[in-house]
Amino acid sequence: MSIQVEKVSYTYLQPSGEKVEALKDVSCSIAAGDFVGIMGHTGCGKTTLIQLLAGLRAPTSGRIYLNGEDINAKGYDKSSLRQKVGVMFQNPEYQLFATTVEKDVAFGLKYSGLGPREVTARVRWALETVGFDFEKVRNQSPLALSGGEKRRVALAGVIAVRPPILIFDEPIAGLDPYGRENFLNFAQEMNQAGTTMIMVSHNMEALAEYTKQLLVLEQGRLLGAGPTREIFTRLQQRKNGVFGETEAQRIATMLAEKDLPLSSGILTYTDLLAVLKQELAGGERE
Amino acid sequence: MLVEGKKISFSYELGGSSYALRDVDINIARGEFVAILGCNGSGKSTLVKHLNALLQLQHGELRVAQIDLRNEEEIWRLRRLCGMVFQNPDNQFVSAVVEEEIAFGLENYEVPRDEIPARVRSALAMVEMDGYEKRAPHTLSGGQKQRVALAGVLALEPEIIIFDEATAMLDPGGRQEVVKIMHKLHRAGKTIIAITHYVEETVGADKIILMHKGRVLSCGTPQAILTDLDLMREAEMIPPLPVRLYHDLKQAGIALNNCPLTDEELVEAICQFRLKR
Repeated sequence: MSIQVEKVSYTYLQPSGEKVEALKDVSCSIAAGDFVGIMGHTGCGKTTLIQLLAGLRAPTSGRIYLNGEDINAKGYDKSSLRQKVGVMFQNPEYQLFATTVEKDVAFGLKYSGLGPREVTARVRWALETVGFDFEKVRNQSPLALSGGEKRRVALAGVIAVRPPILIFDEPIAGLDPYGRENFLNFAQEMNQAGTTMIMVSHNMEALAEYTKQLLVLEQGRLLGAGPTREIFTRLQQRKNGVFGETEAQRIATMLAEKDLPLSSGILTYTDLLAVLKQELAGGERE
Repeated sequence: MLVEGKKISFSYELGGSSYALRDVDINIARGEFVAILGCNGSGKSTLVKHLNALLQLQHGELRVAQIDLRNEEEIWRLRRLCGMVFQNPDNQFVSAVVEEEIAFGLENYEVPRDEIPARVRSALAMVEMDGYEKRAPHTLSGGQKQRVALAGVLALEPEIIIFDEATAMLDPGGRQEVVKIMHKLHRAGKTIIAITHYVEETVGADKIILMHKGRVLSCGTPQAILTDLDLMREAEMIPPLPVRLYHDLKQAGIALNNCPLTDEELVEAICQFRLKR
């Protein structure tokens, strides 16, 4: 399922009466099956953009098309949107509310038209997919779980609907290294199985290693869009500091300044290791 | 020792058999910068919440600045000595204006009214947020919010400042801002306790307490802890990039001189290797 964003602006009023332009004239397209990262400073409009993509807000001007259909047009069935676009917001662990894990995950399937047996099967699949033992966890209170487990329950609730598009807002913030890696590998597998992925993140390494395309927002405007490698290279040339630069890129730059220019295009740890192996091999054999 | 704890155990369940902390010893000297590193659920947050009595001591002994944590009458004094900045900046604000936010704690501690403006100003200056007195907290960036929250803590002139994953929700720039201020306060003589699972932020600490499953797995200098691959694996932590690179190069037959911890040390080690060749 593809998304087309056409000249979208979004303005809201603050309680003080001040107008805030959260998004200004943003246009981009996301192809079916893509893995798209959204990068930008706090307050750049990332969260507003995904709320618009999910149809939770309507743009002040401009249009958003899902498979060619304007999702804000009169007569568009907004409730069908919930089956098409799944969103996991920041800190989803605070959004759990049901008395048991099973009920929480099943909530999104209430209006799906599935029978009770299918619902249970779907909930089992979702919980097992995010790494739970279904029988063990189904009757537990979600509130008694650890932070990382709660986040996985929230994730199960989103994927249980099996939406063709998944949007994650800062899914790995606050997770430890293994938790981050597990989540990212999971997202990659879902993507390889055909789900279109959109991920907002501050984690440059995660964006560099896992996304195929990047959208960069700055103060409500789209600063750039394109293949991940290309965007990272462009951002580095702009010298944005730690923003838009991976650690491997930073090290490569530092080495170049010390008269060890490495081949261009070093973005990830794997790139850096491979180039250094080549560059440093051959000397000092034991 | 400023903090002296022996055999601290804690369970969140009443009469529970599963422990969030198990026989933990902790020693922190005045003026030390201590990083507590561990994965989600390792007990690091539970441990530090004992230091200012946000959690009540169940088993073991704990003294902070000579105050025995079993003595409930001293808790008020203790909390002022031991300030804390939490993970989510948006959950810690009570006022609509930055200066009121910082004055809030001072008013609660009955600091004389005419002293408050000066204390607020100096706290904001310390976190490099002078000029933001009249701003609304929600209009600030994540890093700025955390610095305001920190100023609120600093205004009470604490001896110990605890950062409970205070950088976890920030963007890279915001994280850098907060870490920079942590080190500045340390140089000014404060005792800093920073809880994190970003290994990069522990590199500059005096010592690291590495926790796993409610126990202290190891305690030592960043060099000793972060370069020990087996130990890090056991703690479910991933070593800093320079450490990983050092080991991966070594396996490929390229032996750098020392195992670097920072990007700068890594670059230096690579340059030296080339010179020798």
